[in-house]
Amino acid sequence: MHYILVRYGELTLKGKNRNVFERQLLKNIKSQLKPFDLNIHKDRNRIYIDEVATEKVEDVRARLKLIPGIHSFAVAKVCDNDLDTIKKVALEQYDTEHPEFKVVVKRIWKGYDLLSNDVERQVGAHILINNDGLPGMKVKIKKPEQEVKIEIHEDKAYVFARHEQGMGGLPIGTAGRAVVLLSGGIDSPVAAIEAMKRGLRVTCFHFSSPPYTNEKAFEKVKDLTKELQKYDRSIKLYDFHVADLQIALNRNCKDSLQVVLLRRMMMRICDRFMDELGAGAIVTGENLAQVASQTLGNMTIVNSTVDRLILRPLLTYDKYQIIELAKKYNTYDISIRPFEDCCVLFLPKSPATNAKLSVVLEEETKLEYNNMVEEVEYDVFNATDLEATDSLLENYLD
Amino acid sequence: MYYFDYASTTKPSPKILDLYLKLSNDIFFHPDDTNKSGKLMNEAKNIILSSLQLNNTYDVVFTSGGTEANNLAIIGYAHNFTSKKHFITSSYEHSSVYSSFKYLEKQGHEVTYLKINKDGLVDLEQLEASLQANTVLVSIMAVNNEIGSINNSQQIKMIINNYNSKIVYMSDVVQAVSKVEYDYTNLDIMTISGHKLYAPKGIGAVVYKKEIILKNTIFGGAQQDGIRPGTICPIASVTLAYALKLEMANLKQTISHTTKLVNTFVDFIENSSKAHLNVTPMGPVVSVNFTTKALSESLIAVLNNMDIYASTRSACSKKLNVRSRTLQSIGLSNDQIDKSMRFSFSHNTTVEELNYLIQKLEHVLEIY
Repeated sequence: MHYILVRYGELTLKGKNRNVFERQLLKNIKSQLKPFDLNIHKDRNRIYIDEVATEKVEDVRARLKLIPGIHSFAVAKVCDNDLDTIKKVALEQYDTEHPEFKVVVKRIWKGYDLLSNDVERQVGAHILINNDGLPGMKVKIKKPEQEVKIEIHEDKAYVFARHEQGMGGLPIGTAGRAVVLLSGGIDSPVAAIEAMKRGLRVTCFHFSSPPYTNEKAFEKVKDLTKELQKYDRSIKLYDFHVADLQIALNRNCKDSLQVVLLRRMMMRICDRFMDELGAGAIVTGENLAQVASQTLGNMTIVNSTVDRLILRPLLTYDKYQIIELAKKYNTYDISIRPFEDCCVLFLPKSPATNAKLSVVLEEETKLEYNNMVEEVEYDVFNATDLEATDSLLENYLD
Repeated sequence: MYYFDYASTTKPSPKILDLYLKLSNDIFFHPDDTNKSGKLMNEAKNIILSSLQLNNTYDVVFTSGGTEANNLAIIGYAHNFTSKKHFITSSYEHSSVYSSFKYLEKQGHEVTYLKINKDGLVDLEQLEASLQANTVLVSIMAVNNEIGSINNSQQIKMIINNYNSKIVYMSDVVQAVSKVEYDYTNLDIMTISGHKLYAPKGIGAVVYKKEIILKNTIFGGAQQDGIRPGTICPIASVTLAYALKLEMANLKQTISHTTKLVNTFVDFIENSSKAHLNVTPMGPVVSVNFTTKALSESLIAVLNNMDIYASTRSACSKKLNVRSRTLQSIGLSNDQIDKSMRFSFSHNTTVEELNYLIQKLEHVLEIY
């Protein structure tokens, strides 16, 4: 049996709201660990996960690492409270990668026949003797590399290993909701995760142009959404079909302005749904000057479309930083699959890098976009929909 | 028909034939990533990986069968090297592995052929001693096709890793899948064949770690990322995968059934004055030799007349008209080799069939 102690970092900085943050984190942890059917509870500074069976520990650890708001956590081994057993388990838990250590003992049960100091000394000596010759090995009371923590209860003891780093950030849901524009590229899923890490709950909006876009491109988006759902299972994916809009733009408006005009249409579609979703912002993966539509001038024009807050978490990142994050978040391999999204359809030969607002507004008078935005067709997918098998073979098996 | 030659080939199962027919009617596209045939092949790959308990650090390339798979795995890997390298294999590999190494020797590479001990297992001490600075690949079959002995992948992996974990560990697992418990996660490259596990003939696969580069050994288009040009039958690849999945799901029952059959048959052999085990069976293959006047080729013909099918040796080496390397490697005399026979059982084998075999064999041995 194991036992996990979760520490939350930045939350401790928040004054009166702290309780709200803590409760949200507890709720998020419970929901992420629901399949494991565990007892999860909190006290003033910590969240505890009781009685995790050994075969579940790895999976639980993996999930804890994907929960924003967790600063660090430590898996403890539950064992008998006699000194020999504690010594043995403490030695097992001792991490030889970080040799400087100290032993910290807390007696929850004061009836234990040894004092905390005595247990500390004995366990410390046991670890020292058994790691004789390990380079850098020593007891260090002030700021050691690791603390071997032992809690003694009446019928058991907890021996903690080194703390493992969590995601950090704030619990999802504490900062409200945002709509994320998910393209299928490298940037937007990273932006989504960065937004979630800052406490936002997200809804993914994707724009496709069936029948002119490859179904494979949409599969990418589905797979990316599945990755995002590892952080928050309640995430929904909206897929808006914008082929008619694109064709109308293409037929009626200047070629060089197609990208800016399309993005403005996307903003209008977002705007139409945000109130009913309770979303307070639009998150994009835009990155300053990366492509034509992402210049200051063009972003200003896109911003002015609707009266909404647009957040661009990756605005100032270097591409390689975004790629590194994408790899860390497991979205990179999906994003680089070679299928193109709707933006590539009718891509102008030379898109305007600095469109003029007056010209853009002039172009938009050439089409009745309001109705098209109002009547845009879309599909919504939740986690269960995305998990449903789309196996071709299944259809042929009894 | 009384069939005791499952190590040689199997009859496609009704489920697999049914699937083959249905799919053939509907999905005939040239397989590439954008259509249903390509999707089917990708599904087949995933089924193969999950059936072998392998994760997505592995990939699959389909071939025309086990022989091509072994050629591609060994020669395709060796083609990464322009300078002389050292390879290690065993002296009782299937001819498709053995001949690939003979080819590499002709190309100027060095090959060590490991000895086999009395139990029919590869000499691991010799393996340890043979590893050298320019060794790039160790190829040791999982289960021997003629005597059924099982080489421990965990031990082999450990010996290789202790020396240099960059050396690739390849294994011909054709005779292991669906027949014995085996840990495939220790292997870097492995080869399988459809017709050994109730899928049709003409389909096989190389399963390999994605980080390993295999160079094509035949020349053509960009099918299967250019590793194996030529249009593979996507439906055959699905039947291979699905047959593997079905067999692996039933592996425990299969083993429990075949173990009982083997035990009964071994009892018979041990009590017979004219029959002797070549090696203690470790799986559903029993290799025996007879102290008869007649050679096993003649005995097989007689048994065939009684509607019994077994084999004298690996069908793939028969026509070469040389004595079995496998049986030589475990130290049998020429006479013993010439009078050896292989019986192999499966979950399809019934107790009645086995009793018939024992009864007829008893009779034949009495006469010859």
